[in-house]
Amino acid sequence: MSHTFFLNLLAKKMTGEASTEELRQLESAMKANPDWAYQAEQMQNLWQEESHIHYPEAQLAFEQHLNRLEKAGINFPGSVTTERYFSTAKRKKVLAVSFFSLTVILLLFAVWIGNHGKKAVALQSKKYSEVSSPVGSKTKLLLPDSTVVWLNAGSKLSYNEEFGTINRNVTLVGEGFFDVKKSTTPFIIHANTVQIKVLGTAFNVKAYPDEKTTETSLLRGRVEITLDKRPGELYILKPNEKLVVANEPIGKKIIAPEKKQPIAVLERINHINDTTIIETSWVHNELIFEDETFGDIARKMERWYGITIEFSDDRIISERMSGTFTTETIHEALTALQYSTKFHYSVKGSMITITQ
Amino acid sequence: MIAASLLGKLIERIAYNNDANAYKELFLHYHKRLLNFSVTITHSKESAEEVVSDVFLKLWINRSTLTTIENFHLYIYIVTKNLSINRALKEKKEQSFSLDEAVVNTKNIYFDPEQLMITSEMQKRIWLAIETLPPKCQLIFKLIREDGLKYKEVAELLNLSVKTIENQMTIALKRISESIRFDLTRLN
Repeated sequence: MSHTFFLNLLAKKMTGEASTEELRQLESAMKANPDWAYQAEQMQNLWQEESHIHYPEAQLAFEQHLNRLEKAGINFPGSVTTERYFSTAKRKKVLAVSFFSLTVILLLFAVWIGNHGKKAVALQSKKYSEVSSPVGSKTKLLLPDSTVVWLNAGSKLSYNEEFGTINRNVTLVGEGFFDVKKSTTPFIIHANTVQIKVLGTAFNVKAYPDEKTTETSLLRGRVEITLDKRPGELYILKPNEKLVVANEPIGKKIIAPEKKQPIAVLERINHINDTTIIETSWVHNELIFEDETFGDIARKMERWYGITIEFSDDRIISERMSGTFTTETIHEALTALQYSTKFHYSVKGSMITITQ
Repeated sequence: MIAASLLGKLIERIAYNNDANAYKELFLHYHKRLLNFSVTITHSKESAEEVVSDVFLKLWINRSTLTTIENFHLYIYIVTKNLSINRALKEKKEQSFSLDEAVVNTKNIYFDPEQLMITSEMQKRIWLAIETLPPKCQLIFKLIREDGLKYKEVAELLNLSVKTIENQMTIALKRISESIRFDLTRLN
């Protein structure tokens, strides 16, 4: 057998095209030639790997595709999906697009698990699911227990296979709005140093590791919060209340054993009007800030637009501003901010530098 | 690769129930693959994006007939090919289209060094080996390894004989195996 014919048979074997006769031929050729057997092993290793599916790109493309369908006047059922808790017309549309997107992601994930099941089990004893929302975009998830979660830009939610059967434990990094399905199994969120326990309710958790505080804002129902640092104490939130907990400074151990400064503060949720709440505005595609420093606003904008903002001047960071953005581009947003505070900015790639 | 039975169920849901979720799932599954395939013909990511969108627009309009398609996996590639060629001809105002002009982005061919326990240098060499293959050969290799098409299906899609597909796959494997051999001799 020539080496070329051997490779021809090997290709057929790997792609499932080989007949039993061809497989037999290949087998005996490899027995007679150990070097070929080794090559076959190497090639087959390379063949195992499947290409990864890139969700964020495809997600975005799908949204653009839906726009084209709409422009072409084609009736698509996705655009009539109704939403339970947020009901203005514009929000409906935004949410409709994201409404089934995560159901689909989860389904695709199930498909993926199906295909990679053997490998996944071999590598990990407990299957772990993780969904992340890249910077510049939001993601809506439907968890196995029918709980709905919106993940804000740059956030990550993970849970293992026990979720939905033994427990309902999830870990959140970043910001999420939870509409928890009622059940006798408590739903527990681990976010930074805070544990939030609920039975069925709607609330927002903001727990970005790079921010000073972890905030839990309750819209309806009841949540119980415990802090890692004070395991004995239980904070119970009522609707329209918000618990702000100080995060441990990163990389810094507290030297004094007892510090008097409060680590948890109870606040009211910020209503702008009857229907708009700052804490959950991101869910319906509004970036709202009220009397916040430019530094805090910049961090929100970084996640919102998927960009990086740098200040070349420290004084401007503490300037306070208010504003609401929905569909504005980053340039329109910065121009709007220039009306209230004088500054200049320059753009280089996805990096924006603010100067006085 | 999506299991044939699952693909069949998705198509039934779209055809019989106008199921938007199934439609989106199908889109997410095929988007990247069809996009890459279309770029090989249109040579433009923007054009390819529109082609893929057009393919799915067509699917939605004709959804009631989808269940009558014998081999959907092949069908969707054929539709993508036809729309891509139309697009390429329109833009270049040329009269013909040749497979030898195909531009394959080999960086999309995925080898995960960690999973495969190969060095990143070796990964680079495998890529280089694939990159230096003739365009037609690259395209065939990609359609079979990445997109999960059968020899017969690629033959039909590209109007080639199955024998040609076999030969091209052999050439691709030869180059890759040589790039691996090089790694071994260097280690010794």
